[in-house]
Amino acid sequence: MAKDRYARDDAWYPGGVEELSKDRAQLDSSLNFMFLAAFPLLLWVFQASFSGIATALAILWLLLLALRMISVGQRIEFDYERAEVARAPRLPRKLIGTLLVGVVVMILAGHKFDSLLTPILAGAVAFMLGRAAFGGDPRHDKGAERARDLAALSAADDALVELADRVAALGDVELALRFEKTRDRILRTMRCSIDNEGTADRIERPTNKVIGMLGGEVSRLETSWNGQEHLFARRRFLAKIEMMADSFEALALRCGMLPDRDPFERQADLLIDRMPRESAA
Amino acid sequence: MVTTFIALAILMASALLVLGNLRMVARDTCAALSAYTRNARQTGQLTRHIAYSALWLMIFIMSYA
Repeated sequence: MAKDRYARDDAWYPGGVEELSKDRAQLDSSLNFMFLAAFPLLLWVFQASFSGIATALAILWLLLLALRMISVGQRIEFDYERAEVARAPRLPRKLIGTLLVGVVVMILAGHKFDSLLTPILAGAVAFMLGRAAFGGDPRHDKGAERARDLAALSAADDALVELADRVAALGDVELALRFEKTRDRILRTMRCSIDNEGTADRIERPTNKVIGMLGGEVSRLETSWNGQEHLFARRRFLAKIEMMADSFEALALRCGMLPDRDPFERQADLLIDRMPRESAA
Repeated sequence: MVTTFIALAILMASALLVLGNLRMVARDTCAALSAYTRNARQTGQLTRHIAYSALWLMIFIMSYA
């Protein structure tokens, strides 16, 4: 249930998957055109000596390598920008590619000018132009915290589902429904606090505690289910889970984990939570 | 001989066409350039494109030995 709500975040591209692939295909077009800039090198093959031909081929190969590097780097950056959780690339491919372009220009300028300073300057200028044209690589991992929060939420969800299954195995419909309701309340509170900036760390401990307590209650209910005080145990269980959810919500509200939301937003949350269950039934 | 003549004729004809409508060509070029600049400035790509063209020209000129 919780996963459904966050699955939408992965596909927020305005035009869907087709738009994405089109954009990705367009990434390379400027690089392909960049390779055409080195076409006068083909003239060397007809005019120059053997060493000139070798140099021209080597330079072409180097330029191809550089453009390939930049292309792969651009693809990685493209995916990085669109992902919610992403790792920074280990190899700064765009930087390496741009450096190679600088080297290519330096070698080319070395054939044109006699002094040493001018080619180096030309290479440096080409490097800076390349940096400005193609940009840098992503440096930091992105969304690690968010991923951890989502993992905590999903773990809590799993634990609660397991408890709900145990309660449902007792065969009491009302009990199962009430427990489901409690579970929804806890998960909703947790989700709100995760969406709320800066409170995600603080909700984890209370959640684990309340899940532990719920587990204890479920075990207690199970042991006394076939005994004499079965009705009393049932009543006690209902009262306790109600109280736990109440105090959990109160705690979250007190710590500012729950934002001040108007009744409409709460209602919308409720509807979103109910949606998968109601349609599945 | 014939090929040269045809090539020269096509060249002359296109040159005459351009020169005859010089005002329109200039206006269209101006409109296209300004539209591109506005667009590029809005998307923040102007520096990127200028740097790209400069790099392209640089490689092109340098590879003419």
